[in-house]
Amino acid sequence: MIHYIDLLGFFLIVLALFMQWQIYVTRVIVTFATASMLIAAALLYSGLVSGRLPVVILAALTAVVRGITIPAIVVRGLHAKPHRVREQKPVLPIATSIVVSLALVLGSYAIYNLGLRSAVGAQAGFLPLALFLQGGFLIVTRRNAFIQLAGYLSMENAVLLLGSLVLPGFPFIVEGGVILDLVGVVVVSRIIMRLRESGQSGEDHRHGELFG
Amino acid sequence: MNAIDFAYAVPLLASLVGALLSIIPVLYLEEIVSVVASVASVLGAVLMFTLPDTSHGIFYVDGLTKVMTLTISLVYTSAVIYSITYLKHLDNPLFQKRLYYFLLNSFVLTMLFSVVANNLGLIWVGIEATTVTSALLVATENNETTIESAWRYVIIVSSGLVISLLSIVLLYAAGKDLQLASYLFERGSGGLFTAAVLLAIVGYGTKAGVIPLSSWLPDVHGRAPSPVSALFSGVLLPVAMYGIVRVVQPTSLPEVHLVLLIFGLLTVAVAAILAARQNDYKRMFAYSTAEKMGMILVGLSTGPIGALGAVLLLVSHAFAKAAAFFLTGNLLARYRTTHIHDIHGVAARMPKTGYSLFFASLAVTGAPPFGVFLGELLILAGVVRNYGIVLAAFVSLFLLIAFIGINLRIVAMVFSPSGSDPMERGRVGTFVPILNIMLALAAIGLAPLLPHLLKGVLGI
Repeated sequence: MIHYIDLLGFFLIVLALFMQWQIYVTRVIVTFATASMLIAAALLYSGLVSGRLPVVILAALTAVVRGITIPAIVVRGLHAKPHRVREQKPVLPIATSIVVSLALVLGSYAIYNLGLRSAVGAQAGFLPLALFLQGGFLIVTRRNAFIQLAGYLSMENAVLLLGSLVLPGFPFIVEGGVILDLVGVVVVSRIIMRLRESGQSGEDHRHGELFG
Repeated sequence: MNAIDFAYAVPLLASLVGALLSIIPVLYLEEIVSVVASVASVLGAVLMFTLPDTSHGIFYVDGLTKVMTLTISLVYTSAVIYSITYLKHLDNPLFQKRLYYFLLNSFVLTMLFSVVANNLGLIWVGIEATTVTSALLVATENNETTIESAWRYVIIVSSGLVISLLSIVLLYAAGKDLQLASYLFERGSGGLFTAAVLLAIVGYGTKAGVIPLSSWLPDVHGRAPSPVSALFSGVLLPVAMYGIVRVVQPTSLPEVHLVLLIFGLLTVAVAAILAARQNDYKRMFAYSTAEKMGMILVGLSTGPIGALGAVLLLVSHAFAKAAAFFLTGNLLARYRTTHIHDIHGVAARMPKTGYSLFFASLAVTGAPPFGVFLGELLILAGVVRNYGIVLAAFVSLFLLIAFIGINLRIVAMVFSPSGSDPMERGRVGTFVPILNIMLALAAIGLAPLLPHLLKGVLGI
């Protein structure tokens, strides 16, 4: 049972690293969608093997909401303005981001095995930790709001991976609520981004009233 | 759902009905139903005090839940009534009035849900849902700065709350049960449990105004419409704090108390200094809110006396700060600026607003005889008992810095000479803050009842 989670984790980490060196928003979002679909497939497998209907339903919800709907909402109308389509000025150079994100994966492995594994118990526990940090890293190193949103969604996926596959049994009602919130956050973010861009030509404006 | 569960659901149902009816396009309907819904919510919250506590089923209701529900409902009613006049001053609102009231009612619904849910996971869902329902309210005034503030709020708070979701998953792994009724009565222990509790403090702290985690706070409070700022400062941050309280409640681990103390002290110190040097009165009150949240964390780290003070501070601060933000709305509507140095002679030109602002400022900064004063006094007593007089003096120093800094600025605005004509208008805009100041004063009367109400909560 544990091997497919390790395999899934390997692919998810590869996808997370791929996200770090992307500057085009669509590719980042498609990568997120692919990662969500992989998690959905693993959930489906887990649900069918264990015979647990809630896990199968969660797999379907993950595929529909995280794999299709959310990416569709985010990329809709993306090409209307050129500055939306790509990251103009990342906080860190892309090459540095890749090195740091690799270090984050190795660091997660070390921290987990040295300090947390005995408490958590699961061998694959470092995978969600690594993915969680990758998502956070994407948020702090990018200025493009769409890529920051993808970072947030990746952090959510990491928690889903932990709660549903690495430490299975997380209550379905809570997972359902989390998915609803996720859709709400994405829809509201999308509205705010649209407002934000209709009022300015780029994403690098300074807001004097927001300092101090 | 049995009859008692239904009675507990009255505040939730009232705000839900208010939200749904608000979107019907009938003239003034959104205002009428929102006022009726908020008053029904207050009545439902009062009714809860006559009912026994419950820990079985979908709701978890104890003394803390009742106090939180009543506080949220009262500030909700004030915000709805105040919005009726405030919205008239907006030149270019982002959306129609009925959508504003729909979001306002939904925002309160999610807060009420968060404090009655009998499941740690659903409490998280409720607190995250407050972000969804309130983000667009922040951008109501529809300019570049408010929209930027709304985006910062969504991305910072949502990312922070994912950390608390991670903690909820780990708590489940540690105890295999997220029902609050079970969680609160099992003494958690072990490395995983400790890690989960610490992550919850960090995650919820992002929303609760804990420094350095909540850089969104001054931007949002500074730019949101005044009734929304009142709800944020008065009850949203305490609702996030409620998430922390419930997670730390069953633990007496010293490392958890130490983390609460460190975050609390850092927040009090930094927020007090920043509040005392602001030139924007809304941001000044925002930092003041962060300072009070810091005091609540300090209170939670000190045992029963401090926890009692923390709850009293939470309640009285909610009313006092709501009053302060309503009054800043009056100032903004007339002076059209949030810069402290551009405002003179408020007492002469807007006497009710001016004098109310002076008293609201005294109330929020902890002057006697307001509830904030007694709450802080109890917390300081807890600090003396647990950590010694030196630390209590250190905390008092920053409280004094905030007290002097904020009140000097308010006095400069209110009592400075003025050469222009009076310009106060609107009874609702002055009546609602006065009522909230009176509630902040009356909150001190809650003190003798709190030990009985909160029996069993946080070691009280």
